[in-house]
Amino acid sequence: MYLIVGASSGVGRAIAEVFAAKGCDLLLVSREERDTQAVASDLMLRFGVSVKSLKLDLAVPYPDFLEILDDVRSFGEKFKGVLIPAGTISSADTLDINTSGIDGLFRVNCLSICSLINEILKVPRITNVITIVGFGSIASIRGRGSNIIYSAAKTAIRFYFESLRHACVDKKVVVQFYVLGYMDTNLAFAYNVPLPKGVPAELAQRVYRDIQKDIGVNFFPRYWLILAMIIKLIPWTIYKHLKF
Amino acid sequence: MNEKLVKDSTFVSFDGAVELCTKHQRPDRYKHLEMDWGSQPRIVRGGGYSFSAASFGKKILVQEIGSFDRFLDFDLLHKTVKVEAGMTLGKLMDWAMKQGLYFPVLPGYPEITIGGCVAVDAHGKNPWKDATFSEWVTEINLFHPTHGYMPLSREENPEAFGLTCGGFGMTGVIVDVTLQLVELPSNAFAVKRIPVASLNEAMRKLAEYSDKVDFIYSWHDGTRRGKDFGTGVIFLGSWLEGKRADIGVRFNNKIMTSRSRTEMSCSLWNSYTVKAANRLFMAINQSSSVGITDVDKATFPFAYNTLYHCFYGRKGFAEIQVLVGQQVAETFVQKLQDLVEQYNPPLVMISLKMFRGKQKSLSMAGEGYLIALNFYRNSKLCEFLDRIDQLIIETGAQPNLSKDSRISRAVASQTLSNYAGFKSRLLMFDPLRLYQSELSNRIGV
Repeated sequence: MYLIVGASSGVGRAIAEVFAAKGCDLLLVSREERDTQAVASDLMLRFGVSVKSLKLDLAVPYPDFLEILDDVRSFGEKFKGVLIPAGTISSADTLDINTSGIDGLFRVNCLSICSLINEILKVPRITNVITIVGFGSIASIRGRGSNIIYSAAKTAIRFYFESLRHACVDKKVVVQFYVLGYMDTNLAFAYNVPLPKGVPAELAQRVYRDIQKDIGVNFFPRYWLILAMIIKLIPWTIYKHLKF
Repeated sequence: MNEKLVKDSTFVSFDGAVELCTKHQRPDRYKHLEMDWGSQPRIVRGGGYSFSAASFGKKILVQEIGSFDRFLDFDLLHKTVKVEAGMTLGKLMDWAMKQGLYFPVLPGYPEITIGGCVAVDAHGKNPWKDATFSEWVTEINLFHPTHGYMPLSREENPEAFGLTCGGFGMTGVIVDVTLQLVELPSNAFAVKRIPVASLNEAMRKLAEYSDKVDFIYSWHDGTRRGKDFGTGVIFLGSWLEGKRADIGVRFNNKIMTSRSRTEMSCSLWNSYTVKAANRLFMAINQSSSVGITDVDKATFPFAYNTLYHCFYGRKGFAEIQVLVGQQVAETFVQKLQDLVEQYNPPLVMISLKMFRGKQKSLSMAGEGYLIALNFYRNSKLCEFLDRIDQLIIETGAQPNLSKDSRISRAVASQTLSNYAGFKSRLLMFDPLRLYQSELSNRIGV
């Protein structure tokens, strides 16, 4: 059984579909209960796997993970891992954003994810190896004047996963992190970008293929690895004039 | 509301006649469907395969619901399945056939959505026997900002159910649909071809066989004139008995959209190429031998023959489809032939089916012959089509709004038996008239 957080749409839904098609039982979690239930019904009817859906709002302070953790515990050795392609952006994410906006963005994109992973790691395991997969954004390559808090939170979560990977070296835990470029989801729907957007279904296939491998940090689409290096090398005198 | 969920997109009708840029939303969660757009006119778009501009319009927000394509419930005992309206026919059939089930009313392209089929009340390959799509719909879940979510069926909110089936999306968002499936008899069809020398002969054969076979339609060479007018062939298909082990059902994944159809800058169809292609098609299908066709190929013939539509290029094509009553069918055909001889329009092909429909909306209702004419575009076409409109009015025929992007308010109001009733009932249901399209504005609804 895999736990997928943020499974109601976009990348999370695509991952749920690929994993279900491969015969994996799933626990789907998202803030949008109606959508997650619809995804669960669809996957059960199409692939004959067991899929449970739960509501979880990562934006609230101290979210209640009790039910999720109970399920993880009940699956015992059959629990294979957790994938967290959850995140949110806000059009208010500029220098004018208020404190509650900052709080919400940090909770969804970083704090609640860290809390959930830490709680899951406390669930006793005997023999099984689990995989923890995080998802970041190319917004964290270098700070810029838009999506300021989102970028900061995504940078923080990437750093957390790097620490997590290091901390879990001897703990039968595989830690992976995907840095996502513009994806063909609603999050980037209105952005006209000169480069092709990543296809969620292709990402999902790759995540499934590599789910047990110690691959560390990956870029998707892959060309963002090169672009990230170039963006980092741009001198500040030029970078400060770029609008993107 | 996050304004980033909307962008400007250019849409083109499948026949290439209407192209415009407007606001575009692609909801992927229920809360996106429920966003407050005030009095902004809007329309839902499925696959965008309607030949006319039924799913977009000037200054109209397009809500594309392809993400709503999930199976929600399945009742094995009653063979009903509840699916979201953005599901394609191909996805439905792929799943249904694995369960040993089938849906009897399927238009010819697998990327058409279930919601789209309800909205235009589509028909399949034997509407005489199977009636139209909506006859197989047991329940609809409709969303309208004023009414919220409304369960519609023949028992619950029957008035809104009647308006929605064949209402071209004007009643709101068709969110999910419960469909009645039937047992899949086999994995293949036996297809017989009967050559015919005229449209009248084809009509006689259609009347003779429509009750007896599972699909039936005719094809006629549109380039023939004089005594050869109407030369063609009738295709009759019946389910084979039992499952044929040597037939593997393969689903064609090649997707043609209204946009990709227009990729060729010029049309490859002209009087010479059409004549040559039609002669070749006729020669191939001349033999009256029985062939075996797998169910997918028989169900979705256009998925295997995308070149026919692509060859029309950016200039596009025109299709007219009319329901002609049996009493006046011969008169209609004679007058049609007279007009063809007089104007020599760029007619590519003619197709006939027998039809039976009983909706009370804007879709065709009643019994008769469904006559479809396909044209490539040239300077002679407009005048000819205007004369056809007159013929439709004179003979009491009904045009199919989803096939013809030119039908005017005057023609629609004089020919569609439910036009006035639909318009007044729709206004009672939605006084704000939130759901609009180029089509609804053109025909004055």
